[in-house]
This record gives sequence, structure tokens and C-alpha cells, in this order.
Amino acid sequence: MSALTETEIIDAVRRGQREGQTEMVRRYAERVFAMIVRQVTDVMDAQELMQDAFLRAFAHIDSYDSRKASLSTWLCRIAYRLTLDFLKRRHPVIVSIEDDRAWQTDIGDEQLEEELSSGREENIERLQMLIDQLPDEERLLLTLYYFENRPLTEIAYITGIEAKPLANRLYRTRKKLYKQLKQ
Amino acid sequence: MNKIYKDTDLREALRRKYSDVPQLPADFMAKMEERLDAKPVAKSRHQWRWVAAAACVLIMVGIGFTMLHKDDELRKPLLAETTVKPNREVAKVEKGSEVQKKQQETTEPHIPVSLNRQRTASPQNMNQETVGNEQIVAPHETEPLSNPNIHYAANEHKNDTIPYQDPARVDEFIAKLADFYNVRQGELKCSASNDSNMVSTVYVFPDKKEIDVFARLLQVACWYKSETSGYRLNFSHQQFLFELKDMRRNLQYRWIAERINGRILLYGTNAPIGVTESSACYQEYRNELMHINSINNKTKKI
Repeated sequence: MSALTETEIIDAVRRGQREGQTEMVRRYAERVFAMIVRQVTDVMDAQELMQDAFLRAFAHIDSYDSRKASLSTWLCRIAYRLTLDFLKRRHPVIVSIEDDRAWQTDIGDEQLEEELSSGREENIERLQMLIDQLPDEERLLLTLYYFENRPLTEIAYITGIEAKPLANRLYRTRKKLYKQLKQ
Repeated sequence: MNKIYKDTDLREALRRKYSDVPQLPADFMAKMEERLDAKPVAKSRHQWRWVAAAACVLIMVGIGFTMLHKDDELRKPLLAETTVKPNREVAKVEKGSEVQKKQQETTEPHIPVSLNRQRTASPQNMNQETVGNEQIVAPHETEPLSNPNIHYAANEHKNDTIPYQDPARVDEFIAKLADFYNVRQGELKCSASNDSNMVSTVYVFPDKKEIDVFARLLQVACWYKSETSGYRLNFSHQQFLFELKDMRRNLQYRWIAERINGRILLYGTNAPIGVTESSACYQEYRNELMHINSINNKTKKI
């Protein structure tokens, strides 16, 4: 069973074979779990969400299109949705209507990149704190982009947001962090 | 868009933050097997759902068919099964007239069945209509029927805890305001391609004192009691947010207004309650607005 290709695993799951399902879990669980537990932190919750993700994948295996993404990415997409819903249930979204002009700061892309690459220890420590305060979606975006090194096109598939607005969102989040660093 | 940002500080911060992430527990496979054992294989469960749904439909059709041809006579539609014989009606009228005077002095929302039968003109009898010699009374106001096999589709009465106010009035007001100031309505497609549940509109008003969009939106928000379902109001000089839910139509409404470069971008959306709304289309439009002319000069739909 462990020698199965991705296609064979998918076919087995489509036929409802238990061996295919367990093989899919065995192969991708670690990656899916890692993505979830970075945001959810509680191991029990993360494990449960991971199980939910796989069960949902089995139930909707027919919707998987191998031309659009790899199986691993498709699983991450499911996990992303479940994680976001879980986080929103846990603490409802609070819309901040402060007169926040952070995103209006006129700063070029190159300068922004320079400011966020200072190498200063105090900046790095402060950024760790600021990342925790970000809305869940923005934090997830940064994790996928910077920590997991996924290209924007792949993140667009996972999040269901088109690449161009996603790029804008990334830019705005970076500017926000920069502005907060300067305060 | 394909550029990869170095942002080394940010990368390092994230690396440190996630360096101590817990590993997958060793017994995860066993627990997964338990979950799989607890749930039948998804596909067959799906099939059983369809079988169960089909069986329910067949049973309902069978019952309806049986009821329809139970007697030799042609039976009236189920909802009109309540019939009032003339002699009963007369008796009730006599009884009711005395009580009616007292009833008019009170403001009881629920009227006994006997009074309903002869107060056809009263606004509280709006559920009642007369057909031939029969009176059809709304289900929730009837006395228990003698035939236990008759069921009403919606046999429950719900009272609004506060007077109902249609959130759609806000959209109507905004549309009229826009029309008065020659502001064109823009349409945003914020739902998925195969989902037309979400309705999103956008207006770009000039930020002028004579229009004072924020003040008008605030006035409109004050139409609604704060106890209204889903009520959320938050505003500042820069932004305005107002949300409501329509529990009758199962819709959630949201209006966001923002001052940008001498204009006010007003965005309104409604969707079935529970539908996840992404702000991506709004954000994209907003970014375009930062750099282009207002929608009044463009016909492009986003």
C-alpha cells in the first residue's frame, strides 16, 4: 500500500476503500496538522480539525481536480477553511473602525522591503508580538507565504482569494506591520 | 505579483514563532481509524441520504394520495379542511358580540377563535377569509381539529420580540440618495462563480458637506432598535459600519462606508445568513479607487 502513487490513492478513496483513506492520512497528516496547529495551538483541537479535514476530503474527493493543484495543496485548502472557521467561532471577528491610516502610508515596495529586512533584533521580537495581534486571515497569509514559502498562486488556490487581491492584501499587511513597528 | 519579498525580519519572526510547534501525536492513526469506524464510508452515507429523502417523499405522497381518495366525495384542499357549520357560527356571533366590545378596549394580540369567525373587517382578522358558507381561519388560530390526520405545513406561530423592520429599507434609502445626487450604482461580484446568493453594490459619493453621507447613514441606522437581530453599528470620522439580520428572510446585511481621497466609498451587501463573505472584491475595488476615477465616469463592472 505504501508504494501507491497519488493517483492510486485518490482512486482508492473514490471507491471508498479504507486502505486508500488510511494511506492518504498516513502520507499527508503531518503536513496538514502542522498547518493547523500553528494557528490553533491546542493539540487536541488541532488533531480534531485535522481529522475533520480528512473526513471532508473523503466525502468530497470527487471535487478534487489534479490539474488545479496537488493533493497535498488541496488538503491544505480544506484545512485552511476549517481552521479559519474554528478561529472565528472561538473569537468573533471584531471590526476595528479606528481612524487607522496605516495602510495609507505612502511607502514604496523596495523601501518597505528594506524596512522589514533591517536585521535588528528588537524589530524581530516586536514583529513576533505584532503577528499575534493580526486578524486570523492575515496571519495565515503571512504563514503560508513566508514560513511555508508557498507562491501566491498556490496561496490563492488554498484561500479561494484571487492572486491580485491577495497580493494587495499581503502588501497592506506588510505596510501595517511596518507602521506599527515605527510607532 | 510574482515578486518574492525578502522581508527577512518577518521571516525570522515567523520562524521563531513556529519553531516550537507541537508534533503530531503518535496515536493519531488510531484515533483516525476510530473516527472512520464511527462514520460509515462517506459515499455510501451519501447514497443512504438520498434513499431516505426519496422514502420520505414517497410516504408523504402516499399519505396525500390516501387522504385524497378516502371518501367518495371530492374533498377540499387540506388547508381548507376546517369548515364551520352555520348553526355553530350563529351561536358564536351571539356570544361574541358582547365580548367584542370588551375586546376592542384591549390590545390583546391573540383573539379567541369564536371572535375571529365574525370579525372579518378587523385588522386583527387578516388571516381570515370567507369562502362561500365556510370560513377559513389561519392554522394557528383554529381549535383542534377532529381529524387527526390533517397536518398543516407551518403549524407554529412566532411573535416578533420587537416590531419588524425590513433591513432592505436601508438599501432603498441609499439608492434614492444616490439617484438624487446622480451617483451611479456599481455592481460587485463578490460570490463564487457558481453562487449567486450574494448581492453586492457599491457607490462612490463625493465627500461634500451638502450630502454628508455619514450623517445620513447614521440617521438611517437610528431607524432600527439596537435589539434588532445582528445589529452592529460602529463609526468614526473615517469609516462607517452597519450590520443587520433579517430573520424572516434569513439574510444578513452589511454596509461599509469609507472616506478615500475626497470621496466616500459606500459598499452594501446582503447574503443568506451563514454565507461567508470575502472582502477581497471590495478591497480590490477600493484599491482601484485609490488610483482611478470614480465609478461615475466608468461603466466597468468588477
